[in-house]
Amino acid sequence: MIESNDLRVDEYFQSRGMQPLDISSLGLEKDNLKPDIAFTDSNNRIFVKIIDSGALNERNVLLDAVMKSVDFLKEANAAYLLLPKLYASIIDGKLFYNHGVGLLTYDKRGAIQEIIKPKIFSQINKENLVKIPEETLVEINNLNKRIRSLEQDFSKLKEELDELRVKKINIETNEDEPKLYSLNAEIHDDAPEFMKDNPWIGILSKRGKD
Amino acid sequence: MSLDYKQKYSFGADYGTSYFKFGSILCGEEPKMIENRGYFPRNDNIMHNAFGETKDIVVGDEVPLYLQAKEDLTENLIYPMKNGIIEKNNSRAWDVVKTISLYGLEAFEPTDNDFEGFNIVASLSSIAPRYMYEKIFQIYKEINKKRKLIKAATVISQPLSVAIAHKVTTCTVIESGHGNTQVCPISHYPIRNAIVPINRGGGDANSITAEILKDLGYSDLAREEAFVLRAKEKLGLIPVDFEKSVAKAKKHPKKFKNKFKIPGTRIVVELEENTWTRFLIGEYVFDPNHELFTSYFKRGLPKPKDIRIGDLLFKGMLDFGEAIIEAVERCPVELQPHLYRNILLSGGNFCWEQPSIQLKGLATSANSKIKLLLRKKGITNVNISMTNEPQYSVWRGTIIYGYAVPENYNWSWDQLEGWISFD
Repeated sequence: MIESNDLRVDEYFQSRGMQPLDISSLGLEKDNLKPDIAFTDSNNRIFVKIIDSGALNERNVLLDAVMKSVDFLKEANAAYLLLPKLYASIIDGKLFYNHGVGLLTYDKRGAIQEIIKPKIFSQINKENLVKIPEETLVEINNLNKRIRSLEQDFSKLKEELDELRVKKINIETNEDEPKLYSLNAEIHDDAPEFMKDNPWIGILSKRGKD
Repeated sequence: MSLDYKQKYSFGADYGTSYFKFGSILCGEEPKMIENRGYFPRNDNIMHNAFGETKDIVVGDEVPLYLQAKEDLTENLIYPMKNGIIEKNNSRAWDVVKTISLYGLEAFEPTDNDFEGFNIVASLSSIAPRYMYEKIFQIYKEINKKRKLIKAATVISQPLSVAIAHKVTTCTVIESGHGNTQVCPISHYPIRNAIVPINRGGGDANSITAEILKDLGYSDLAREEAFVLRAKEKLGLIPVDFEKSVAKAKKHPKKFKNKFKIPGTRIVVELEENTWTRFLIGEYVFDPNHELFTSYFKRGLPKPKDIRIGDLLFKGMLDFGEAIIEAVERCPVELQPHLYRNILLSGGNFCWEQPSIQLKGLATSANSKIKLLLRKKGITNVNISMTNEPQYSVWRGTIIYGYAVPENYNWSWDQLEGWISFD
């Protein structure tokens, strides 16, 4: 008989771009919500319940396992039940489809196969995917405050710099109409030739003001 | 409308007599061009039968695919701006203007999220009456009903646009297109009551070229407008002194020989003993009053007529020198020398090949010809320049206008400037 440790579950999920989750760090308080193994694809959390062939000898074990997998959906986006391949043929698939639980089987060599795809539910809070320690949250808040403050300082400095630029142009040209020259100053080197050093830009920018 | 916005979404639309030139400020030096025309396909059209096409008006590069018999063209192929002016109730012509406007805007419609419509600057003939401005704004409003492509719009005159593109603030602009010529003094603004319109343009030069080709035995080809245009460009010469140049050419025709072959065909045109007729084409553009032209008028060449449109009289036979003097003398005396000192020639009718060095003293350029016409009338201190790439000048001016005029300057019907907002 194959033991659960021999199953190539990690290999199966990792080959699909998922990473194993440390169940103890998920903050799951109730035992019935704890899976045997869990994975994430960075967007979704997937819980897996593993049943070995010995357990299935007892009545209602399969039904209990399905119901437990449904409970997983309170904390996960998708749930799988993993069974020996031998028992897959005697299971009513409707039970899985109705509850959105996925079905995986394993053979004697521990190879995994997906028989029924699970439904992906989006209702759980993604923030719970990785529990962020309290001190990290405090640090993030502090950083946010500092960034906002720096942004305000930067805007003020930019405004002051723009004013200084306009004043400098006015001193050089002995004119007191900043708008006129700022328009010309905004024409870049790669602008079309007909726009460069065009006296009409100054004249037209005064329209409606004179 | 921030400066950043204007740097991205200013749009120019030059409604020329032959071509519609359009494009956004991001076009660079040159706009896109399509012929300023629209075709109204008949229901029995081949495209209609073959593909179930149901277009009411076809514009742009697709037009040749829909054309049918030559007789059909006169009725269904519409050049709305042929004379620079569209009659108020000419609904077909206005429909074409609407279709080409939409065509141009859609060709440049960006997908950026910050796009709220173009700031469009339309350019019309300097003699366009007020109702044409109203119609253009109405068309833009209708375009916006389906999809917001326009944020604000304004209309400026073509000569002002030319002056802007050429960085000259006080000048006289002569804009000569297919249908007519406008002489417009400018001193920071177009001086509207000094504008002199002439009912003569490139189309008239085509007409006399066609008559010359008929006389030479190319009657069939003379009916093909594209062929006549090519012949005019290749054969036409601007005489220094019309009588002397013609006399010289009659005496030494070989000196003026210039046969030309139409690319892609077997057609070769040779003037042989009639090389003197090359000067007829150039002279007719600038001054059609010589008695030699009378015989052509008698044989069916349509004489450019004086016509009145609104308050303006378009003289047909006014020579370009006289027209400039008439326009400048309507301006304040103090300003007049400045207006002569900067004369700008613009438009396709001034696109002539530089004559060869062997013809020096007999054939000349367009600006030298104008100088000679003015000198004959006693005006000497003049400086005449030809615009660079005259076909793009107007569009370039519209782009600068859209970029520079403040966004909060509301449209004024007295000044005919400012923005009409479509927000």
